[in-house]
Amino acid sequence: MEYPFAEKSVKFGDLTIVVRAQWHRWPNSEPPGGTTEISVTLMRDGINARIVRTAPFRKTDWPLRGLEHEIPRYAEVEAQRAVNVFLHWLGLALTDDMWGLFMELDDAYRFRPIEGLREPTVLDFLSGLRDAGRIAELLFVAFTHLLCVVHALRFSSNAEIDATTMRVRLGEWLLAFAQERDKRFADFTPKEVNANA
Amino acid sequence: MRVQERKVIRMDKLTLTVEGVWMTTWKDGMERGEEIRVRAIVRWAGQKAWSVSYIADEGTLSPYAGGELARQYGAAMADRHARQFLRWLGLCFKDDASALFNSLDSAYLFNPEYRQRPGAVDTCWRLARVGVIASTLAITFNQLRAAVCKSFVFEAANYKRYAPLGIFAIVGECLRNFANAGGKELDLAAAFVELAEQRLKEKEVGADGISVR
Repeated sequence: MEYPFAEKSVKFGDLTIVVRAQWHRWPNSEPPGGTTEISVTLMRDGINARIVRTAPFRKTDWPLRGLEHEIPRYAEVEAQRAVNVFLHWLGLALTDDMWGLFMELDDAYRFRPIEGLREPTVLDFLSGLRDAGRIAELLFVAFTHLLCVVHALRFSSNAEIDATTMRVRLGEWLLAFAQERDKRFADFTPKEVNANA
Repeated sequence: MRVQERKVIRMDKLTLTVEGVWMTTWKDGMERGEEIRVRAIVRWAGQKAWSVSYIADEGTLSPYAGGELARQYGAAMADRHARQFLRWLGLCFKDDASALFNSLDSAYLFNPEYRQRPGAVDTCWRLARVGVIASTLAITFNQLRAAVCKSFVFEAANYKRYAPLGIFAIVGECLRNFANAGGKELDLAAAFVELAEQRLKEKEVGADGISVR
């Protein structure tokens, strides 16, 4: 059975980023478990080719035991959550809050051993680090393309803001967009750039 | 140019080959960069071999390019990364996640703590790279651990003899010693017995009240 997916799109300059997440149930798993998968699609106006990157976002092992009827709703909420969290992380990367991003990734994937507090086995540590790495790759791809557009906009227009300001502002918009539940599309192309163009 | 260094580890029915490969990369018909790849080839007796790999390092071409020095440099780099992988594998067997985290961080600087103004591109890229290494390590570790569990070490009499010493910790130490010694081939079973017996001897002497250095 296919569960509903969640999707949010961001347009910035000639780049459109579509973040999509879906919860998949593991076949024959009892109690029901599954993986939330997240995919990022990058499209440039006027170019047919697109870049698609996919990574597992989170695994659901036991919370659905005995809650068979709740699964579709869980899948929907989980997918929405994944999209918003990913956009939030992208926002943190753009605002240069690396420590915040690292801590949030660590909260999600628990890969940082902390003496006396969290002492994972090596396999838990490695699998957490692997999952964090997969998401970091998606963030890296989306981030670098956004950065390219920031620089392209900066040079192709007479906008009087510097690239860092533009990037940080975009990050703040993304952080806000990640918190909006009903909005599924946002165009973040700076107005001054639009006007100048 | 392509140079490879191999380390072979045998344990019961498993042959694990860790291969460090240094090669130059080409673009627009010119040798422009270098890449170091580490590959772990898993071969169980009677089964087809398969492998997992990661890119350990890549960059612009070193100044040694084009001569005999390049071959030596490449061999040294390939050997260094293969040994590093074995050391990490050793830490896995010691179940020392903290030391492994620190060692990976020293190599790839993915933890932004204590770093001045780490960039997002840098941190995400490093974290992504370390993630692939973690995945390779986890797969290789599981295979080698399965081989140890299936070997003579876990036969009742041997298990009783060696378990108090920490079997996996001793395997980890064997791997570390092998990596530090820079050998080409390791009979892990023999190395294990040698080290474990040495430890037992030290323990027995220690119990008699004579300190052993």
